[in-house]
Amino acid sequence: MTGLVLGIVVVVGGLVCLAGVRLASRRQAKQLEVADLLWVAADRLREELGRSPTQEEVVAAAGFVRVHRSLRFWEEAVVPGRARLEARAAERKLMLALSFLPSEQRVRYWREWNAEMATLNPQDAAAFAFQILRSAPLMGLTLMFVKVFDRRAA
Amino acid sequence: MGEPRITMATREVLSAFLAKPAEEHYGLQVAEAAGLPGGTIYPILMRLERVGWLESRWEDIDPQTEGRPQRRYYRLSERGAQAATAALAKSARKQTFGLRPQGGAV
Repeated sequence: MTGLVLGIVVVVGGLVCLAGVRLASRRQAKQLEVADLLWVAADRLREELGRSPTQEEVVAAAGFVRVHRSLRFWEEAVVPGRARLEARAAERKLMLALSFLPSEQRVRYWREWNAEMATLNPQDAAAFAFQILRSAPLMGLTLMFVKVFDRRAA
Repeated sequence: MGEPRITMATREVLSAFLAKPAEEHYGLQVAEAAGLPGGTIYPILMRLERVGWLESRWEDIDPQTEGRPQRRYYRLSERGAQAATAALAKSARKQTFGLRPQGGAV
């Protein structure tokens, strides 16, 4: 009996140790990712501005802080991988929003919203897609109302 | 065709259109003029288009040459311009009445 308890304690202890090591390595990987992101942002800003960027500029350019569009003079200097990820997330939100609309209206609004998003930077496009997604059920209802009852939604 | 519900946001959008009634505007332009977030104006545009106050068309450009997709342009219809002016005036009257310090609507 004592042997069994001892065995369980050893196994549980081992698992806890393993989980701890795994968590620590994940945290380390995350810190490395952040460091990489900041490094690339700083590098790109240095090229863009022709001077050493300030700490605030690097942090904002790496996407950790939201800054107003008028202050974002380095819009193109955001890390490309991050921009791509944001664009894909925005695209997914848009597709989800379209699923609320009647099928015959989807192409029109997909074209319209894509055209608007094409002129925005990744951060603003993501915000735009989120706002669209939030109002998509209402838009779907408006269009469905017309379709089902053949009358104008008020 | 009925009349759309005139909310605060709808009023802002209509005011933006009425500021330049003959001009065509695309979604983000309307949002900027109305002071509303870009993605929030589409339900309003949709409603106004459905009741015939707005007309829309695709921009006439070559996307290859311009390097961007065609936008959807909106403009007030003739009926829309009249109806919007009347609706805004009515809504302003209501608001004034509602804000009267004494004897206003509760």
